[in-house]
Amino acid sequence: MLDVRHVSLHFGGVRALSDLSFSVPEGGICALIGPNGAGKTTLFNVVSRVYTPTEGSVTFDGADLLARPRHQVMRMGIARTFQNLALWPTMTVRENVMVGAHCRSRATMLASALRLGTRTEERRLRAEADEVLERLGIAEHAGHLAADLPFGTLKRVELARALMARPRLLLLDEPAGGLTHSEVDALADLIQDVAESDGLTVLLVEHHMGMIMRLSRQVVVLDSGTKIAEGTPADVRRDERVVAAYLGVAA
Amino acid sequence: MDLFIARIFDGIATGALYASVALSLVLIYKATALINFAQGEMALCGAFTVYVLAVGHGVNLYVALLVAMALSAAGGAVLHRVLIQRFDPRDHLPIVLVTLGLLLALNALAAIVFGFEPRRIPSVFPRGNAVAFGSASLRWYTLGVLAVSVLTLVGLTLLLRRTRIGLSFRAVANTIDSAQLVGIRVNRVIGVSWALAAAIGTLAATLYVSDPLRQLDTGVMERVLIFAAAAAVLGGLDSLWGSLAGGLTLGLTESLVIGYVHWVPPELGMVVALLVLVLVLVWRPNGLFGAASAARV
Amino acid sequence: MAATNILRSRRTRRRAGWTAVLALLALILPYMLVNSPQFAVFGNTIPLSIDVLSYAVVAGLAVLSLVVLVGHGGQLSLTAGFFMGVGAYLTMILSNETALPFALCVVAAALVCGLLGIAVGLPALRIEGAYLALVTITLASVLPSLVRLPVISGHTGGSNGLSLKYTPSAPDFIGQVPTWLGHLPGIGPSYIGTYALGPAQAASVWIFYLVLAATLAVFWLVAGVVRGRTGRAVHAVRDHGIGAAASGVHVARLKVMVFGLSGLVAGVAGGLYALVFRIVAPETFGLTLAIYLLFGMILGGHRALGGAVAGGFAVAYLPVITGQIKHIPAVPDRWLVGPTASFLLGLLLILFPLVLPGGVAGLGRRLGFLRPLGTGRTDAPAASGGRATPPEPGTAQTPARTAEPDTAPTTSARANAMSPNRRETRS
Repeated sequence: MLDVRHVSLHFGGVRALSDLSFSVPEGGICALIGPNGAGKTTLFNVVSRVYTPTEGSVTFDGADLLARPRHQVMRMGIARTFQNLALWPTMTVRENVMVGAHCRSRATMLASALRLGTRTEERRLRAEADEVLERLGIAEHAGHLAADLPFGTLKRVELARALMARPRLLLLDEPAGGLTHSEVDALADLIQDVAESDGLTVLLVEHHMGMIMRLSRQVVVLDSGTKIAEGTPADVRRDERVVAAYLGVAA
Repeated sequence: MDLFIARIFDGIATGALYASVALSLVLIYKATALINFAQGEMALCGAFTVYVLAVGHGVNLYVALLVAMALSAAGGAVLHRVLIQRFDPRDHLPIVLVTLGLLLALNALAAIVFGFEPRRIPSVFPRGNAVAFGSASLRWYTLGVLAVSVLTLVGLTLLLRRTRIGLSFRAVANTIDSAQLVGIRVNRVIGVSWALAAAIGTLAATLYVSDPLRQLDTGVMERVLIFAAAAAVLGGLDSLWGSLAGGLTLGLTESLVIGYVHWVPPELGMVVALLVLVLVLVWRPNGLFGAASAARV
Repeated sequence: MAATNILRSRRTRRRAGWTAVLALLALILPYMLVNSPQFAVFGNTIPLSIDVLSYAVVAGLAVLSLVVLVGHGGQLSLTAGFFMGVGAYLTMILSNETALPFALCVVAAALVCGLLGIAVGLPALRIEGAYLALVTITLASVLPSLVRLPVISGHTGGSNGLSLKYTPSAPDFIGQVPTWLGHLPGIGPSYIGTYALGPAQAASVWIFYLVLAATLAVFWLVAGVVRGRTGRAVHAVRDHGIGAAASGVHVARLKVMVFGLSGLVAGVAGGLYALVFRIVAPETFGLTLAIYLLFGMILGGHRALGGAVAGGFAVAYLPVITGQIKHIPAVPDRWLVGPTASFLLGLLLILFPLVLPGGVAGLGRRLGFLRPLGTGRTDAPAASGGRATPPEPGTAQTPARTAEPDTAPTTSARANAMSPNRRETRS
């Protein structure tokens, strides 16, 4: 589904990504792991067109992703969450989530001004947003301003917003960051449920190894901008290079 | 041909002064990405101080100028401490408001205290011409003003590169957060830049009105500020030497356009400033020598 | 739940009450002011005229254009005065020189201003914050000179200014209203009188109603935009552009559209100004007006649509009041001369961000008159119960000078949980 081929990205002298290639097949959960600075978020940024790689290609279902501008990424069916959150503090949770459906709604500036046919759409969007919030267990916060809520809750809001877009590929950047043990378990259940029932493909960046092992069908390991291993969770766990670079050797 | 040369000299004279005021703007922008809209009126108050000391109390002109610059520097530092420092530097709206308010208040204050009749400040440079080119002559004033601008710039560059406070300034200009983390007193550094900017502004304004062909009145700096702003943008808002380049270019452009383009009469020179501004924005927002900054997500 | 309904209906009733009061005022005030009564305070007489009241309404519209662009769009641009000036001049020129009915002239001028807004918005994409403010202030300062350029001064009247030839004539009943209102107990006989109005006075009243109707219509349109899908997208772009782009929002197009909308609204304000005062001069729409409008925006609260009304009144009445005050107790008269008005405005501009950053709207929120921050309809009023005074986020502008298009500009979200600087881990 997602094909990353020989992608390199340099920031001046820093090589954030070097000749990175891997594929994410449709369906199931693929994990992207590696130490800090390995380039995982950078890769996400490349896929969502925040950065343009110096070399290489990225295709989604055969379509050249690098030829599209940023705002078309979601239209193509790719939604993402951010490691440090990219929510909008002055709007309510519900409104934040409703923006997720920006591509699925049509009201233009003129139509909104004249209130031509917008009421139905607004009602539909609100209902859908409430539904997603309910599903993620945060419906009670729907009317709260995003600025007032804790980090863990906001991570779910971002997930809700991504789901609202009805994407086909979901990029999750450290969704478990800052969560407690039990919260991580609940999140893992949620991600699995979402992937299965909605038929989503998920590309997951995470440090929480338990979650990775449990959820993913395929794991790609990055270090210093290159891929050092790829395979099933069990394979990767045994791979020496991965152990040396990331997992660590027993003392 | 001689007329052309005369216009060139005029352009250099005004351009060098636009450059100096632009320098003040750039100093503060470099450190904080903010614009002190009151820069012109602060300079005006400085020039009026020179007038009061030199003409009102018979103090030696150069001493008066130095005293006024010192007072301006103090004033600039105080204004920064009292009005600017309290705001989050990432939120530009309140500071834009405050500096605009200062612009109005200082200008009105000058008008209330001094009234509207123009005053004269004695000439800082020797009167008359240094060199003659046919019927066009290069006045001492033009040479002097250019020299002062260049020297100020050289002085600032040395300050930035050879002193500790200069190093701190460059650190702050680069990344405020990192500078803070290594223990630099960011607020103090910015306060110093406000003080320097104020002193340079006063110097520039005094030189501007001490031209035998000009007078000191409350309306004088509004126009200069617009030109200085355009000069700063042209040169690159975070480039000190850029302000010299921008100022001279703008001064020359103004002089030549007014001389040769007949649908822009002299009083409407500000239109030239606007045109330059628009051109820079459309073609290259960083200006001639500004550095494009990229930031990490 | 019952408590929620009671609370909600109390607020609704309160607002209905205020609306009724304002409607009544709108009906009576023009007739009270049509005879230019004097208002005396501390030995000063301040004349109140209906033209200034109409101007207050029009200025509210101009302030609205800033609220849309600066408050909602997050673009620190001071173009309102400029577009208002262009709108006024264009309307007058069209009306004087073509056979178009006046209303169409206003619409046409406003559309041109909208396009101009887009034209300004395009290069503005590459700059922000104080830099953008600087550039737009230059635009505002140069309008008086532009108007005087010999190429167009034939149409604009150059330094002599321009006057509108068209005068609307009021329908008959307008002049007759005092004969009914004049019987109101209390204010009737003393402030309104029971005589029918002459044509000039009736025209002034009629103009007030026209201007009021047009302004309310534009406010209604803008409210529709702000509260709907576009409004959400605009706020998203303002608060986190990358996040907005990731959600499918065309950031650049939206920013330019907001500029266009702001230009359009200010253009309408300009056209209405031409109707109210019928004379413009180059100096009318210069730097001072731009600053007054900015102050009006801050006074009302830079994101509050309703606050623009308060802002408009400030823009109209501050100069009148400060210009007419000749005696303040304990202040020597010599000090109260022309520049005093500017001085006071300057002081206000300095004090407001220090003392009342949220403006009048912020005050209204704290006192419970207005609903808490959040553009949509928040259901539970208890949602904001946890915080007594919701913080008024300032316009979050990044200090990045200019951003190259393919690198990510920093955004500054001010809420704690969402500071991008908080967690420095890189993956």
